[in-house]
Amino acid sequence: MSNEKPVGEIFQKIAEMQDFLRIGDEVIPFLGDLFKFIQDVMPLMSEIQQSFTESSGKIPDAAQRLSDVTEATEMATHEIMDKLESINNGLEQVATKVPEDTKKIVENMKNDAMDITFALQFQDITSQKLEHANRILQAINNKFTDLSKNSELIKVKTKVGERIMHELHLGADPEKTKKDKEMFDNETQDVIREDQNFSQDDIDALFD
Amino acid sequence: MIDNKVLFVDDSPTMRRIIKNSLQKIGFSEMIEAENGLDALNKMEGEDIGLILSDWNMPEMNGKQFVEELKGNDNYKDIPIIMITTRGMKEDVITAVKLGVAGYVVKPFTPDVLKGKIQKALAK
Repeated sequence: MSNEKPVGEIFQKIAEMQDFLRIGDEVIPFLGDLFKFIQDVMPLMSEIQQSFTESSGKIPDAAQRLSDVTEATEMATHEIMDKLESINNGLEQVATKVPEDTKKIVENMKNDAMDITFALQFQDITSQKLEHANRILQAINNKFTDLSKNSELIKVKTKVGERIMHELHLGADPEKTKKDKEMFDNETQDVIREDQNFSQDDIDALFD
Repeated sequence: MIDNKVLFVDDSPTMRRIIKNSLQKIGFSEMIEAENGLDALNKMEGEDIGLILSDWNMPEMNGKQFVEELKGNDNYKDIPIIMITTRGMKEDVITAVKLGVAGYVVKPFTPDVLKGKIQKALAK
């Protein structure tokens, strides 16, 4: 009788091991599928990482463009204001020299000039909207930078991370990456002529 | 002509020019302009200001901080302040009212609206 209990325990242990192996039988194909999935996903991950790098590289440029727009509209607005003030001054002089019934027309013209001046508030309002968009761009850029830094940390901290990052680079299709980059560059290319390097005279010279 | 010296604060040169034009048209002759709250506080020293028009969104010191500074200073706390801003959310207006501003104008505004708010603020 004294040996019955240990034998019973041994059988129980064997039964547990059989259960464990059965679970193992079920889990191994799942793990296989998981590894296959990771393998398939690697090129996509690689592409995402590449896209992050390319996109974030364009953000400072886009932010600068928005600031340029604000500056340009501000300058144009002040030119318009200069003209309006000049018109207003002219109308004030005219008002002193015209008959009484015409003065009303001159006064209406002055009011119109004032209305145009007030309508120029759009410049400040759009500038604030652009500045808001700029802040969003900066925040996205910061997120991209953080993501990039974090991926570097994975590489540094663990061997598995290092291996995954290595696989990511291997997973990238260089031809596709190159084509994607060209397409991205074309889509984001600045088509507005910046005249610092190539003036209208330079252009005209090509037609002579 | 209105005797009160008016201080207007806005970081946008365009807005400062528009406000200056309208204040001249309303009849103000003495004006001080500033780019932000901090600049305004510096320019206010030794001046007898009768009215302040201030933007909200500004660098260095924004309009809310500026109003808080004024309300916490015995020399300036009674000067009527009108906020002129693009911020038209209800909570922004409530914040401004709680701070003790005398008027609130949302951009874009017309000369008549500004004139009405100024008259009301000076009559208080």
